[in-house]
Amino acid sequence: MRTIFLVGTAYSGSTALSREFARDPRIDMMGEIDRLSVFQPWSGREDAHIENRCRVCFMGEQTDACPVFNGELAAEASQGSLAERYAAVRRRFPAQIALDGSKNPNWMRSVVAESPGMQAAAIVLARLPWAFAHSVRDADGLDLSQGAARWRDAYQSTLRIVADLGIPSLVIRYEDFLMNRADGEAAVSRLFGFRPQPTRPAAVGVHHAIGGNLGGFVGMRGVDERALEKSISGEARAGNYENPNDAFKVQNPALRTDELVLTERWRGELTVAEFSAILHVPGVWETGRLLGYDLLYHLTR
Amino acid sequence: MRTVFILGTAFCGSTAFARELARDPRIDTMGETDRLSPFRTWSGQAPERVSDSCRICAMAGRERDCPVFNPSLIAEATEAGLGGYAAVRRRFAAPIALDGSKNPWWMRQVVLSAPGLDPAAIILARLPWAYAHSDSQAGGYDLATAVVAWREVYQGALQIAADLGIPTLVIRYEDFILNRSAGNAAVSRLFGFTPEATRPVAVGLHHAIGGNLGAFLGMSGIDETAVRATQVDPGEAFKLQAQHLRSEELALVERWRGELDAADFAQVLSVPGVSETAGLLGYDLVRHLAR
Repeated sequence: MRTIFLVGTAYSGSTALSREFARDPRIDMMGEIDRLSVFQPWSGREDAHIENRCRVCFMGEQTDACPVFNGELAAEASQGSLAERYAAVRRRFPAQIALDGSKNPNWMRSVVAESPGMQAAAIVLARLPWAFAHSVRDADGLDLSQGAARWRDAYQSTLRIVADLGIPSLVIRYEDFLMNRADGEAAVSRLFGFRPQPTRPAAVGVHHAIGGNLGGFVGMRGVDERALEKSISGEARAGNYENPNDAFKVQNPALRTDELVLTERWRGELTVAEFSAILHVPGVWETGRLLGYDLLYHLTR
Repeated sequence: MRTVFILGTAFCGSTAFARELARDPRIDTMGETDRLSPFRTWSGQAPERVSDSCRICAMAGRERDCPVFNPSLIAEATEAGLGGYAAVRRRFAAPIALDGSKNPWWMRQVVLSAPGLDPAAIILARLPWAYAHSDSQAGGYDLATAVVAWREVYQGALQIAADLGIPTLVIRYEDFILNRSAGNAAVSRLFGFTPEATRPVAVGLHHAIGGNLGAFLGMSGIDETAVRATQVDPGEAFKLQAQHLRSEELALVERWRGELDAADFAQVLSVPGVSETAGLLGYDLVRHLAR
């Protein structure tokens, strides 16, 4: 039983990627476990980010029937040490690999440090600094330089915590994964020990997860699309940027560069001066290199 | 069949570390394969560092009888070019083979040329002061010049492992020695099992190219007198053979602690990027300075 933490920034595509991997029955997605209220003392999540209901079941209007995230789990996970509480959640997912999409390296540190027997690993899920700075400007109103600094700090911190904990890690660059699925899946297979096979449907009732980008659920069987659209527009009104293209991107195994560009709004909306401003933030270029990015290639693509 | 590349600087303890792991029969140590002459075009090794003979067998005066590193393998690898790496790997039967070349640029070429390799990496880190001290003594450099090489190698290792998309584990050598159970737990997360020391450390059981001579001391079957005559550092084997080394015992075998002064420590840390790189390797430098 292995637990793999997806770590990185918001908007890094973790929901869509988890959903795609979980089409293999040997892999379960758990969603953003650090949002559960029982973990708030360790996660430090703000009240506004706390969530206890399964988002997949909620979208299929089956919240009350969720066999995983229900009152029984809430009661069990509200007692004992962090390791015991986390184990109660992990036991609900029978697959040999479970993905924790919290993306929060400090949360991962707390869980792993207190769970010595846990077979933990990490996927550092990277997104280009321009993409993140653009998204966070839309969502939080940060200027691009502030967004780039936040991007730098998140990934620098992630790399340090992974090294400190002594857990295997794999860097996946979301854009490269989309544009070369064969290489991306080969990389993932080196961590999982097998190549994911999409033999199980993306459907309500099959998967259960806390939180996640609403756009990552588009096209899932059993989801009430009208309710989803309403939720997306509600989130957008609330200032939370959600991109319905996320599901489209990972569902297309042979996405061409020109198709990818069509789904990357930041490419059309940032000016040359803004690209430059992001790269001028100290440490952004170097952090990109540590994540294996060839930023020049992505600039000229 | 997995190949795990050990990455890091010279003097990072890779020979002793690999020798210790290879006490589990599921793990073989291949040594520094980038020193083999058929690979010189890709490794860029200087002529004096190229070697085609098994160091372990040589230490017992049996290099001509080595069943792995022999003219047959060298001929096969020479003909295949970089593809000859597969021929080397096939000579090692264990499900995990350790390549101790430590060279991230070598790893990049091998991995890119062999899509079916199932590679992973262990970045074996050593404190910047330890490396700078060793390198300045060996090469006559000042500490600041030496530590620049330390920064470049570890930055290169992190960047290349990320670029290649291979699972990577950072092991800090000092922490591994001081807390073996935590170190073994970390290794088990990459290997899928906790290494068990059930195989003797003996000539005839292991075969490797290159490596620190000091790490072979105590190996059954070697000519210790001949090895000691080469002025090896006997601390290497001692450190890993002691399962429960205490801090004060470790300090005794860390010569740099006694030979560097406060100004030297500061000089090493003043080189741009050194403390940041150490952070990326998970080091708590303040703790190590205060120890």
